[in-house]
Parts: sequence; structure tokens; C-alpha cells
Amino acid sequence: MISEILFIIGAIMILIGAIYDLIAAIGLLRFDDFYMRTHAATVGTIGGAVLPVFGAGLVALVYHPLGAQRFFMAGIAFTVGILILIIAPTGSHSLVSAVYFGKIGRKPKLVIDHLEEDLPKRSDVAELVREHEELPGEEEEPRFTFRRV
Amino acid sequence: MLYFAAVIYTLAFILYGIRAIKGPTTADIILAVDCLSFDMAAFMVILGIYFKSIMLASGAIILALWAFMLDIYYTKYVLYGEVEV
Repeated sequence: MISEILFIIGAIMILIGAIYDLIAAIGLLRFDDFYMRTHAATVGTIGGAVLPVFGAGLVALVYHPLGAQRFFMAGIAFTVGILILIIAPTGSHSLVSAVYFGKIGRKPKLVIDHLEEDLPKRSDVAELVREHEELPGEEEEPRFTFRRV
Repeated sequence: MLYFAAVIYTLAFILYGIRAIKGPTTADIILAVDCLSFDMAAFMVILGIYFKSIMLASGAIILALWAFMLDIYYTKYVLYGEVEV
């Protein structure tokens, strides 16, 4: 009884994950902007990878043709699911920050950009660097030197 | 049921591959390869159940970690100009 319920729930999760994956692929192909594509890719990683992996773990728990190896398979499935759940948002966030601060590609037309207002201006940063710049001639001599024999 | 899921997954992989080939900037390629790797890890677990083999499923962990490594190294290369391990 409980095994059939787990099997049906796992199968439904795998099917919903596959449909999520197709929607994310269409979105990644059709959107015309990197940040919009990031939105589609997030759907693809969480809905399209984490959900079917947990469903596969539930199916593997009650799938008797695997024999005693089914617990091993379920453990691998849950490990992969938790791992993707942790590292996919981190990776997407670091990639978007690299694109924004590294100024890669063209910026989309925005109504307002609050992050750009809060960032320090380039002239202020240059002034700060000039204040903290070390004057030449004040460096200490290196204490240990290699003598040439 | 698994046939239907496998067909949809293959279609999605083809669409991701098109974006990974024609992406305008490097970040789009990295994003598409990232999605492709995570979904391929999920697909490998499902294939491991279908073929009754645990050797297929054990490669999924390494595939997921590899995609994460790609993101972090690209970010460090763009923002800091160097890749330190």
C-alpha cells in the first residue's frame, strides 16, 4: 500500500520535473536578455533537476527489481538533490554578479537601477585610492637577501 | 511513463544545446552549460533506475559539482582576473 503511494508520487514528480525542464529550455532560448534568461534557468535548475531527483529517490526506495541496491540508489538521489538545491542558487548568483560588475554584454533598458545609484562613483574610488597610496621611498629594505656567490 | 519523461528531457537538452552554441556572450554559454549539467545529473539518476545500474547514478554527484566549479571559476576570472584554487 505505502509502496504504491510512494511510487505514484515519485512518478508524478518526475513527470512534472520534465515539463518544467521543457518550459525552462524554451524560455532560455526565447528570451532576449541575459537577466531574463537567468530567470528561466532558475526554473530549469530547481524545478527541472531537484524535483525529478527527489521523485527518482522515492521511486528507487520501493522499486524491488533493484534488490538490496535500492537504498544505495535512493541515498545517491537524495544526496544529489540536496547538493543541487544548495549549489545552483549560489552559482547563478555569482554568475549574475560577474556579469553585472564585470560589464559583460550590453545592459538592458531599465526604468530605474537602484544598485547603480548605491555604488560609489569612479571619481570617488580614485580619490580614495590616492589618499591611501603609499609614497615611494618609504619601503623598508628586505631583511633577507640572497647573495650571489 | 519513463519513455515520456525521456523524450521531453531529450527535447530540452537539444534546446539548451542550441542556446549553448549560439549564445551572444560567454555568460550565456556558461548559463546554458550549467543548466545542461544539472539536468543531465537528474537524467542520469532516472536512467540508473531504468537500467537497474547504480554505476550510472554515482556519476551524478561529480557532474553537479563540476557545474558549480565552472560558475565560481568564471566569476573569479572576470572579477579578479586570476583563478586561485
